[in-house]
Amino acid sequence: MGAATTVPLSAVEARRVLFQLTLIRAFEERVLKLVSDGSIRGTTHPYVGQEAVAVGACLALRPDDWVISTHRGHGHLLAKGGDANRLMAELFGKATGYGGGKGGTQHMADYAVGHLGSNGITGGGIPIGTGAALSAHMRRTGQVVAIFFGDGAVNQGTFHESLNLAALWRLPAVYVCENNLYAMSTSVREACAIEHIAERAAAYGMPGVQVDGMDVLAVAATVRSAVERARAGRGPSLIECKTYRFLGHSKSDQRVYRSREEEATWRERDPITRFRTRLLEHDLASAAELDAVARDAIAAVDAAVEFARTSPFPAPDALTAGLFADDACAS
Amino acid sequence: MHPVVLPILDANMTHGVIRAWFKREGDEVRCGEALFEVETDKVNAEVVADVAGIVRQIVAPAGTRVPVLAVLAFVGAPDEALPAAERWHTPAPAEAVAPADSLERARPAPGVLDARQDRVAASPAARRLARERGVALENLRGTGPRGEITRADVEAASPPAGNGQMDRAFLDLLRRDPAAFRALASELKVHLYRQHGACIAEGVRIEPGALVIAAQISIGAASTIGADSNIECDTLRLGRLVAFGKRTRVRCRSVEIGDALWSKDDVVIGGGGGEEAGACLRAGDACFFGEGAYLNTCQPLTLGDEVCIGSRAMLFTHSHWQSVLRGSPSLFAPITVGDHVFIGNQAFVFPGVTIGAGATVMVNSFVALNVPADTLVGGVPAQVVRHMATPSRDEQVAIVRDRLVPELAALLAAHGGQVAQHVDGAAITLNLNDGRGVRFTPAWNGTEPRPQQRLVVLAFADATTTTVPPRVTLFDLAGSRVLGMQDDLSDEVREFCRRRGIRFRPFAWRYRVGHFEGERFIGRA
Amino acid sequence: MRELTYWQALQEALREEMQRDPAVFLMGEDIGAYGGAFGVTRGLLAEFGAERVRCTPISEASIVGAAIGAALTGMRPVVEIMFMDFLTLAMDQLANHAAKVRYMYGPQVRVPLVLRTPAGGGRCYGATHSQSLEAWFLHVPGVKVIAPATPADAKALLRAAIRDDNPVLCVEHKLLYATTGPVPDDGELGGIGRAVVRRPGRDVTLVAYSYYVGVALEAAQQLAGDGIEAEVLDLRSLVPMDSDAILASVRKTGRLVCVEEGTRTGGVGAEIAARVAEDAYEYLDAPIRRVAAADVPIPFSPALEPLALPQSGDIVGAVRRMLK
Repeated sequence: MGAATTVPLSAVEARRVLFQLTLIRAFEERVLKLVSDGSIRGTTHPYVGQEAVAVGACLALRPDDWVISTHRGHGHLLAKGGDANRLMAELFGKATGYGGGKGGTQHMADYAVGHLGSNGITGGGIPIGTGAALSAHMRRTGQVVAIFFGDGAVNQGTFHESLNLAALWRLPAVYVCENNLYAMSTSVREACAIEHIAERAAAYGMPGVQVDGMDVLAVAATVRSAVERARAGRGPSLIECKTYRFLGHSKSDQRVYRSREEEATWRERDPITRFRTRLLEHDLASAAELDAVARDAIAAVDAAVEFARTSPFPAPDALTAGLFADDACAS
Repeated sequence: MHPVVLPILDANMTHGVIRAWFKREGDEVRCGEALFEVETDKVNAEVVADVAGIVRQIVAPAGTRVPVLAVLAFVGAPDEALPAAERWHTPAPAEAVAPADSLERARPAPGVLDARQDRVAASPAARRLARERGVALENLRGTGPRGEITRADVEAASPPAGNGQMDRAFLDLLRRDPAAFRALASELKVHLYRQHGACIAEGVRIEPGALVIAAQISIGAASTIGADSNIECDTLRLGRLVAFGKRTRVRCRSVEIGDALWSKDDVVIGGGGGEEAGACLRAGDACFFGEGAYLNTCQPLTLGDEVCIGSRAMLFTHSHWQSVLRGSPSLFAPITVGDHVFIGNQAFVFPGVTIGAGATVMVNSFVALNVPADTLVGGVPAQVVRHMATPSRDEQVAIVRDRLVPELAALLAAHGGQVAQHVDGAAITLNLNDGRGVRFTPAWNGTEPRPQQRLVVLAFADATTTTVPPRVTLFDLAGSRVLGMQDDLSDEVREFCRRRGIRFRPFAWRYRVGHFEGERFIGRA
Repeated sequence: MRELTYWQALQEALREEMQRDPAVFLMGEDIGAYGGAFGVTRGLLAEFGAERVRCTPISEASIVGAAIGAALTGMRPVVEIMFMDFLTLAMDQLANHAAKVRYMYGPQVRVPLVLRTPAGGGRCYGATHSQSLEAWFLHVPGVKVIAPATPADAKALLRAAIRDDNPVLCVEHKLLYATTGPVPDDGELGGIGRAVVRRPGRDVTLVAYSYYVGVALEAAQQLAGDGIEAEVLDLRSLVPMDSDAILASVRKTGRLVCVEEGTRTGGVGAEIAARVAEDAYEYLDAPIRRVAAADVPIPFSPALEPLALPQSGDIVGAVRRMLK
């Protein structure tokens, strides 16, 4: 494991990556405020701090590859090319949201950009993503599926079953574990009999790799190898991204289970700061350009909030619509 | 095959318990020989056989309690076929015979009462059917597993409309011993008629002394056959709210009358020639027969809707006395009377006459020729006095506004309380001092008042009006209909109109009895 | 018309649909050379190959989950869950995902997934291999449930299920596999959601599905000897359920007995009874009765299993008590 010493991106690409990282950060921070002021009901699971994993992984994927996501899924959706407006509208419960307001924060999908859906059940998406890989394999499309999950999911039976199945059938799947050290309040140390989740790969007959999840380029490079392996028909891989969520599990989490020192240590490795620094170091952008990117990200979030606020709520007859295919669906 | 039935041993008898049979199945019995012993409230009696033959089947064994006229056994020849079992009433097993008040026990067996003594136990399907058929549940005996009244019980009490085919044997019994039957209470008579095939709806009364012998009987809800009436015909079909007065005498082939006939006492339908093939009376809705009216039906006599036959008027469909050999024409011919015809008291209508709709025959007239529609005729022989032209709508409005409304106002005032008149364009409202009101408006636009209290409206509406707002009664003068709730106030207005010849559907003479909403009869307390 | 066994009819449905549409494939335990625990997939591996007849490890949750993922992305999987009892292992995927993703994600999603599963007792297989759990799925909106009672319906309904773009659970009673019946050569696709009157009658309605249609017909035969004419209604599917057919029959007869092999409390019969009480109350001539399994795990012993599971005598008794 090590950081890449070069930036294998053009200036334009680099700014786009920074924009994505910053967009996710700004979006999540704004969502927290909106939950606080009641504009968004329910709760949210902020992705703050983990941006490099989603963005890095999606850098390694083609537009027609698939991802499947988790309860902490806004980052994956935006990184894969999702629409911030529709995402925000869904959080507001509006008819213009991804699910017409019926899914909410944990249940969104955008098939047009290859996002098969986020999931409210820990580990629930792992078998489904595996099935998508099976489908790609059977139809010989060359597509690859990146299956995201956290350290909490690796102890679900579905993790075990799916990795076995994927290896057995040589499916084009990349299992991306975002190990942010805590499943809600339970640390990996308290939940796993081993320290490094990547080591479990051996049990399923597939390669297991650890990578610094706070380094977007490192994540991209690692996922790229695994994707190429999968696309070539050599089977699945397990990638463990060591990362950290700067905020609580969800909005209400007081984070009593970890120390502020620990948090501070990880904040020093903020993926966005590090990437900015790298770009400046490698002369891929000026500070002013980088600030402009940051402003663009904020503007995009503002626009998304405006879109969400001004969108209508779903009509009452949306309640019973869309349960079965061949029904009329409100959205 | 002869059915042995439980005879009516006294006027109050409704049931008996078979105490013993003196013959067994297969035994021979002679006419007059003792056949069985029955116990009633009053007496233990031996009943003798009224025919000779072999006792082929005993349907009600000793110990069973049966209603009067129920079949107890069959007597016949050894090789004769027995009737199919289900046609006959199966008697219920005996209940404990307690020395109870006989009047109480003379009631027909009621439906089983459930814990709430005011409610009869009946299945939901039975209730629905009873409501649709106009059957009173209290009169039925339940055969459900817990004694509840079932759908089948209601069906047995009220075969579907259009049937009403009577059980021959029952009619024979009536012919043999009419006096005992006449004396029975109305509820029991109605019950027995229903049991033996008659289609009799809810609320029908057959008053004491009245008897109907007809092969097909169908009587609509809330109709009455007056005391001491005697009706003998092949088919009797009466609509709803038909009232035959006392001593009505009917003897002909068929009588088919619509709803709401008001027939007063001593009316005769039939008379001589009642046995002839064409002897039938057909009448529409809301007709009126005055006291002593005489409707001879040797040939078909057909009346439309809202026909009034004055008291002691006579309609003859055949000549009577003078001999055809002496040159008398001796006419036999039907009489047809159109809608809205008035035949004055003591008028006489000759065989073969057709009276056109809307015609008026003056009292004491002798009508030998056809009467054109909408004419006033009179005299002996009757001649056209004038043609009656229907006023235009505007003229009708003026009639109501200028004549009826003031008269109605006076009537309402006379019945107590102030009446304040309020004019609003073409509409006039009579406001009673208790907040209720009566309004006349030439045209009803359907979005009319939502009164705080009661409002009775007289208006010329159109056929598209089918509902009215709550607390409103609409008397549609154009369509002759009444819509909406009905109560004392609307009855008063309706009576007022009736006395001026204005009648409304659904027809009802006796408002205090109740009224119809569609098919449902709503009785009034 | 030719006669097939129920399992042959199912197999024919699978074969025809796999021939017709290359997206249709099978997953399940031991469905390959072994032909499936009840022999339904015999011969299909040889005909279609291991790619399309996929024998899986014992991983019910992930088999169903993978099937969902495949269904979302252009395939039409038919999964065999060896015993209905094992559906419990896949409940999260079925109830939280298959049933809900279209509703939550919108019309971009179709889930053309079929789950086939042998259900029911009567073979002394014990409590965890004998259950009839279909009532659970009435309670999870988003999954259709079919339960064919005859070979003809097995073929017709399974084909319809495979062509349906929604998740469909096909409940196959174990005791039906060996039964035979006429199967039309090119039958129409059986309408999911349509019930059929197997025996017209006027005194009581017996509503049943799957194996218990036959039991109800037996009971009706017995009752006919007493002069009671029972109408037997085969539901054919439980979701959607043909309420109109049930109500029409009850309006005619006035009496209803709900027959099922699932346990009585909270069973399919409870749902039917509630619908009839709501919508045909005024046509009831007697209280509604349910004939169902006892509220116990199904015992193994041959002395006890028949007591736990409903028999035709129970139906006859229930009807006789209604009519006395």
